Amino acid sequence: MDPCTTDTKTLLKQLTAQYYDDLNHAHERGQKVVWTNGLFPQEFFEAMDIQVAYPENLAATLGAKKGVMPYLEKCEALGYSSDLCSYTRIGLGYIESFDSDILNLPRPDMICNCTNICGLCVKWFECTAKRLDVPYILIDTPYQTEYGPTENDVDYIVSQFQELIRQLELLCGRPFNYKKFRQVLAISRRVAKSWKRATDYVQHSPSPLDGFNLFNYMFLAVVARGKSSTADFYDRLSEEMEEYLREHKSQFKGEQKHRIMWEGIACWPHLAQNYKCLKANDMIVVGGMYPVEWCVDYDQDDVRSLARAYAARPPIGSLTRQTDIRARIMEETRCDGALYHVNRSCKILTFLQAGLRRGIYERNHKPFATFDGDQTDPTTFSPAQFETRVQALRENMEAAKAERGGP
Amino acid sequence: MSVSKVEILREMEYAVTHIRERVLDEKARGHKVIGCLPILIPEELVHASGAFPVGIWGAERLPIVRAAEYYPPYACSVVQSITELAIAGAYDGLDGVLISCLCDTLKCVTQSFPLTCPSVKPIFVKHPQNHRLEGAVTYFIRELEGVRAQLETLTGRQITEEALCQSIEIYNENRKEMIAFARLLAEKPGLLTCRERHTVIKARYFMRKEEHTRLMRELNGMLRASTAPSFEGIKVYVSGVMLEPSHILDVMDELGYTIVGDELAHESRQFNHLVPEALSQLERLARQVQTYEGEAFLYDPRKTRGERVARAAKEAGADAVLFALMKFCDTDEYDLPWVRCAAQEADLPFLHLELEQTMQSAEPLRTRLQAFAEQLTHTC
Amino acid sequence: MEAHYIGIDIGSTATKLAALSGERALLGTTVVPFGTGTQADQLALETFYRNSRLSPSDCVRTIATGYGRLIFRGADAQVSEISCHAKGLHHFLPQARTIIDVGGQDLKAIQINDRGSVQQFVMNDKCAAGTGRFLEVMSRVMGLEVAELGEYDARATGVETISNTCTVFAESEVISKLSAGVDIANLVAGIHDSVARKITGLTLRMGILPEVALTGGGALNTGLVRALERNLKCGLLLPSLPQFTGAVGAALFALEGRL
Repeated sequence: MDPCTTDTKTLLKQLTAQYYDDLNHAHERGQKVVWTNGLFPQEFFEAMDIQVAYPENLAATLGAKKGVMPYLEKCEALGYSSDLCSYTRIGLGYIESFDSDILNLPRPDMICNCTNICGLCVKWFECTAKRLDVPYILIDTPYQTEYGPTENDVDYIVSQFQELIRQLELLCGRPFNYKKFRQVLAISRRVAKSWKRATDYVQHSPSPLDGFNLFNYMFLAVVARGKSSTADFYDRLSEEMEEYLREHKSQFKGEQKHRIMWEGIACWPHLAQNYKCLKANDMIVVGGMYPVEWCVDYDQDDVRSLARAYAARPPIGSLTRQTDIRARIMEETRCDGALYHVNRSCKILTFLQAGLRRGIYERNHKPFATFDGDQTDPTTFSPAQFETRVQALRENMEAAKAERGGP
Repeated sequence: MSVSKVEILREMEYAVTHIRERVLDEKARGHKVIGCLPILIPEELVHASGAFPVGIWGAERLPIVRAAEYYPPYACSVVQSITELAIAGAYDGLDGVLISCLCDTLKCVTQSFPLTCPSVKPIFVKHPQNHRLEGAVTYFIRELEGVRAQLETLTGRQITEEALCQSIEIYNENRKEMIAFARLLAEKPGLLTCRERHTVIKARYFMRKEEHTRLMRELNGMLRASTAPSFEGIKVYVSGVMLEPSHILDVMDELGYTIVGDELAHESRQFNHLVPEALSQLERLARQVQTYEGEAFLYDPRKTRGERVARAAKEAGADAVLFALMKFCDTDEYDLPWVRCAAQEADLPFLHLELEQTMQSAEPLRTRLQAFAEQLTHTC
Repeated sequence: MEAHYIGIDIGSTATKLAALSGERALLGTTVVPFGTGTQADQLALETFYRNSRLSPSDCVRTIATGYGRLIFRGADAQVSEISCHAKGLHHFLPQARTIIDVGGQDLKAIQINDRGSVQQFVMNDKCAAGTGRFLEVMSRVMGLEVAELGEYDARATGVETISNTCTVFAESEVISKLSAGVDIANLVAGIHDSVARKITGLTLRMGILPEVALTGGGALNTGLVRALERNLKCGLLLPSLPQFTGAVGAALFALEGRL
């Protein structure tokens, strides 16, 4: 496949298939399989030719393809509360049988987890590791209570990397490949830049890129951040966007009357309904956290910079920093308003959201609306409520524009 | 019951119900007062600065109204009530607060608390999750240096090695008395009511530790000298975060339960781990985190909590395990099935109660506790 | 002169009474449609004795159960409804080991041994989902009586799934489906399925041992029974007097004199 000429839709399909193929054949090829969370420093696994599976991604995929209920029910039957994050409930239900019709993961040889998405995943992976009887290694990135990560945080993370390396050497039965590691650092930085370049196209008005599609495009940024093919893919996406700009085209097939920021994780089981409703209200999603969150770039190709980059992921950022980031996104992407997903599963984000909404509103006075939903539990969402809230947001944005004398 | 024992319990009861008065009294004496939020706080640092450490674990049966400005209904009731009290100005008299980051909700509290109490200096305690590694100890020592520096600025008093050493010794003495206390109640079930036991433990949060130790030494002496009552009821080992609202303790007493041990975050997990020896006092405090095993709020790759609960329950002679699940506490919700499984494997009947600090009525709990008691005693 | 034992189950919306002879024979039952806090307990006793040949002076012992058991002064003792439902159900269906009680306000699942002793139990008394309350709300939206639901369900050609477990969201979902012209019988089947899923989830937490019996008001709803059997993947035993299981259990405790 030639990334320079193949369209991104086909390319994404091919690369996705390649990823799962490599994963599913790992054991027969004598490779180890590690399960981890989305923002873990994948560079260490790439260096050791370890295949990496992401149970969060499994949950999201099953959510999008309506295959989560058996696992949610199984998890509840085991005695876990339905209060818990639905990604984790799906994961805990799934490992009882590994029998989805939609997508399956090979069993892990080891579980690794980084606390830069939340602290609750520590408990999730503890339960998973005990159930599957595999080692569980942690990289703890402390919460950024003040603004960004401190030098003390970075020192601590680097010291944990040393333990991680030792564990990976034990797992693979060979020394850590520092040479490949350095190569992967360079590739990963290239991926970060190419992802940023591609996702920055939403800043154009009108935007050639439909921000809602980032829910799809992000897949490689999550699972294959250390591969050149990922950078090639996002570069191809940038080229497509350049073509669209030249031809005054857009992925969004409608009038881009209202540019909005979608705050929060997607509602994976309800993507189609969400998109249809937004489009019916002439809303294009241009703002969101995914570009920033998955752009894991470091200042230099060294381990301290790597540690700092992974420690600085937004989900564990202070309220002030998170407000700054979103206000900047709304400005750069020229949002008219914002739609907040009050995600039942994600406490670390949802519990700060009230403060976030107030802080952002104080800065830009843009209309916003909230709706209740969940990232993968289909029972915690009401289409009627979503439609009402989105309509109210549209009416608000129209009124605001009329007041300013705009279109 | 001797007059002395009644007096001791009364003094502890007073401490628990007159927190505001105590804080005002300390301030009137020119002492700074520092609030200590859940879960694990190195109070010794506060003590060594001459300030009065006061526990902040919310309030029972408090209607939650304004906390909704910050938290949706599915945040745990401890954080809801702390936030409600903060907005109401209950903490405005404090000079500072120490907040840990041991769960995602508390992480958010580090951000919301300063907004609800702008006049109170927040100091964050960042425990390393990867606590077994030497790098984690180094990290935590530096974090505690930062905490110490902030406390020194706040109190205007230097926290010397000697002062900190002395404070650690005072706290360790208190811990030893509390460990002995818990053991005595396991050896002589029914000697104190559930409510009395809880009050004695809770009083630690609202007294200087040396005062509390003085009372504990007397109380323990009296308990040692007492003969064990003939107890016919149900001996439970309690697991969880908190066993409140406290009217549940009265229901337990009415139904013939006694508590022979616990691993509640609010209670025994505050004193079961002595601060160990090390080269510096801050290193001692940092290494205390390494003495925790199977701690719910710390990374435990072998997940030993269930087995530890079952073992401790058996050692304490418990008839059953009671899991006091704080509603919306994800940490304990992940552990509940494992503790239940371990209890069942050890042939210990298991009851899980869902509690919210804000519960007005204990009736739903009464039905479950009564049914459980009937289940255990009914010999059909 | 006939010595007898009384069990009285004081619920939130109805009070049920049962009388047993010394040989455990059921001598009579009464139900009054008032619950705790309304003097219904006294009314139940008066109504029972007015319609019975038994005399209050021959009552050996009375046990109260249910939500209002602590307020009722006329009982010798009070026992939880969990123990009473277990004992009562075991009396009628001794082969049952798992009991599901779908009440108006709450939901219980109880595991018993071969002697009718409670082994473990789970309850939901906070959330309307899985209880009669959910069915009340949904039937009102559809303009039906709860008593009609079984009959409509019998005519269903399919199950129109309601995905929301929250009563408020589910109500909105039912309204949308009605507006979209969905077949009302299939919608009723969907509502029953929703309640059944909730009940199944709770019961599986405890674990299921055969045979499984269903009691409480929910047992009178054939549609719910059907949906539950489908979700639990097993047949359900139904006592002939599901509303009186608790009262009979209480009367048995009165007779046995041990609790």
